[in-house]
Amino acid sequence: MIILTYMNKYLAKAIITLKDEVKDVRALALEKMLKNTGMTDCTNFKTGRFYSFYVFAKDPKQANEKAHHICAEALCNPVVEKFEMSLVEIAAEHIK
Amino acid sequence: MKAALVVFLGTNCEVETKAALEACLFECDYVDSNTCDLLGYDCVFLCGGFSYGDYIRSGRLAKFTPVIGALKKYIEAQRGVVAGICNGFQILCEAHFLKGALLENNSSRFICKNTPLRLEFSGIKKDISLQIAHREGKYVCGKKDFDEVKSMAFLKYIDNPNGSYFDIAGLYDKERRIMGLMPHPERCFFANCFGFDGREIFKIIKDEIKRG
Repeated sequence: MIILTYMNKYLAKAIITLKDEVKDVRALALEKMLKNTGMTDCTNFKTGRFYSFYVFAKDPKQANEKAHHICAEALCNPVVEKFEMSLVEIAAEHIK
Repeated sequence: MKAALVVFLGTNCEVETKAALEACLFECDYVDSNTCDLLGYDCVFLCGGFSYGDYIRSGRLAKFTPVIGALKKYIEAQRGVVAGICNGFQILCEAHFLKGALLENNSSRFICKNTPLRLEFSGIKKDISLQIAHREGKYVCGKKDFDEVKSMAFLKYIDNPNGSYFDIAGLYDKERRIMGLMPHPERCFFANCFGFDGREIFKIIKDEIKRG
């Protein structure tokens, strides 16, 4: 017997950056280099990492919980990093 | 005394660490990252190098291996001492066995050189020199942990090369059963190495195991 479960497919996008109180040395080096080349109009650079992944869930709430858990537990170190996450519904798929 | 040397994909200092431990009269076994039981060992070493390409962050992916679960049981059972050197220290921090985290050096460069350090542990106060070799060795922690971390640092840089908070190069936990340090004591152990000061660190670990 095959049981079909309908799950919605969501695309999660996460950007992980260092917390504001932590010195972002790469961003500081970049800013210094740009100042040296005369580009002084842009400041407060931040560096970070970008991840995107699919989440299968019944509803947006469950998808958000799952994606949030992955970001907090696997992708980000809460001691020094913070993350911003967005979720977009792609399509409904049935999983055997 | 029996020591387990945990080997992750990418670990590359296990041979030197084993040689140093054997010179300290330890019986050593290499254990895989899939090991689920470590209770037969008096100490567990997480050696230097890399782990799983250090993707995401240094030591981050190693956190999800079965051996970390075994390590948790080992610590809860208060069986022996856990020591993390370099990448091992990063893994211990990422797995939240030790406070804080390790970030990229202030210079954004890989630093490999002999560094003067101050060792302060159970009445021992000594200036030693050990080799450091890391790109992500800047120790940082949250403001709420500042006081606690300061009291738990046993190894400090004299001339801070990477921007670590409070010059911290090595740290232990409350129970003194988990120790992590960025410098490589196993590289300063034998006559053909960078000095003999690494012996002090292995002596401390041996004394801690004997303390029980």
